[in-house]
Amino acid sequence: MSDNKIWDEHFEDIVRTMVPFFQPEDELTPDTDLQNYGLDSFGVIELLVALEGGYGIHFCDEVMTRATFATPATLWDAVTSLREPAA
Amino acid sequence: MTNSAMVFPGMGPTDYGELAKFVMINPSARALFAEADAAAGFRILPAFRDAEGDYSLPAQLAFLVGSLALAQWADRQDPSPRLLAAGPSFGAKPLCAYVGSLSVADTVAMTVGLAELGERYFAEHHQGLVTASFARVSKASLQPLLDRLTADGHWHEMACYVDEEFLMLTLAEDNLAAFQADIRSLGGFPLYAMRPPMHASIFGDLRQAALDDVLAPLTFTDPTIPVVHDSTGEILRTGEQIRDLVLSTYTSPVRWPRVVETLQQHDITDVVVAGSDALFSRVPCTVRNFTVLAASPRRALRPAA
Repeated sequence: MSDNKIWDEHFEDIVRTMVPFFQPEDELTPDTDLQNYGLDSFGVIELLVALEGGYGIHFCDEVMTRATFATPATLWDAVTSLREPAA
Repeated sequence: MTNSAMVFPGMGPTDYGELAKFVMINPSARALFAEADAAAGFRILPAFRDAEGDYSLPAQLAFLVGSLALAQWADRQDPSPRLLAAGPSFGAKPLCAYVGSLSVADTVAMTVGLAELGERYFAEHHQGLVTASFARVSKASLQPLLDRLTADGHWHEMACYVDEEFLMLTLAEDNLAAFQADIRSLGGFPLYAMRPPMHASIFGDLRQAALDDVLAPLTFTDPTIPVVHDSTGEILRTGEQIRDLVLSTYTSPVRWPRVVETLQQHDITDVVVAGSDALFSRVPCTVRNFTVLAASPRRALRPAA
């Protein structure tokens, strides 16, 4: 994993598995455009379900938008915010 | 024992580059496109490349002929007979040619006629309606939202049941934003909204015009294999039933889980989904119940294992 990665390996594995045209040699960067790698509308749902199962979280309505799934950075922001215990 | 069915998916965006590459390297696909070009009166792939929008007439023809070519490719990969066929929504059109109810030329002519009719119709009717798709909401949990729309006097109708929790609803565009917010509040995920709208009982006049202006001169012969109706799940065996299937796509909701049930009742184990599909080959009720070959241009371009 390169130094600019802000997420854990589990997240990297899930995103690499669920984004269909991502090749092993492709680098997942914070700004990678996931749609360019084939993440379509149904793929968003599949990725959402995988992340919910993988992290034991539930995506709430505030993050239930296509923008959340634009890049690894936006998606990881959502995952981390959902993992934080409520104040 | 393997029992296989052929499915033509509803239309979605097609990647021009992948389809063109598949046609370039596949002689049967080239021959099919040449036949379709002659029927259309123009070269479909260059027109598709230059057309704007995912659902233009050239895009519809490219999807139609591409789906047929991919079905032929899949049949050569696995020559075991297909016992049933289905074609939800737009997929009813390539289905007509695959089961021999119409020739390829007549199928192209029908698709051109229906596309032009639809464009004229929706330029004048129902401009305020959209078909909204959303996931992670079941019909049961959706019902209170539908009841509220009804109570407020807002017309709406289910357009498509893709899976238990993947649905489409036609409603007024003015109600769309509030509806999508309500979907989110239920834990659902609003996806795209389509214009023009699809599959609604209020399109009876369009269905009649499709029969009078486009389908009436065509002779639909009995299908070579039985076909599953995309809304009722019934088995169709006559040419007249295939013609009515094409017409019913205007006014009846697509109920893919019912098609799945019928396929299961007939002991189907394997399903080929022929075309640039992003949905029917991937939803849980398909992948949970069948071995699926998603015969897309990308898959057909992949070297054989």
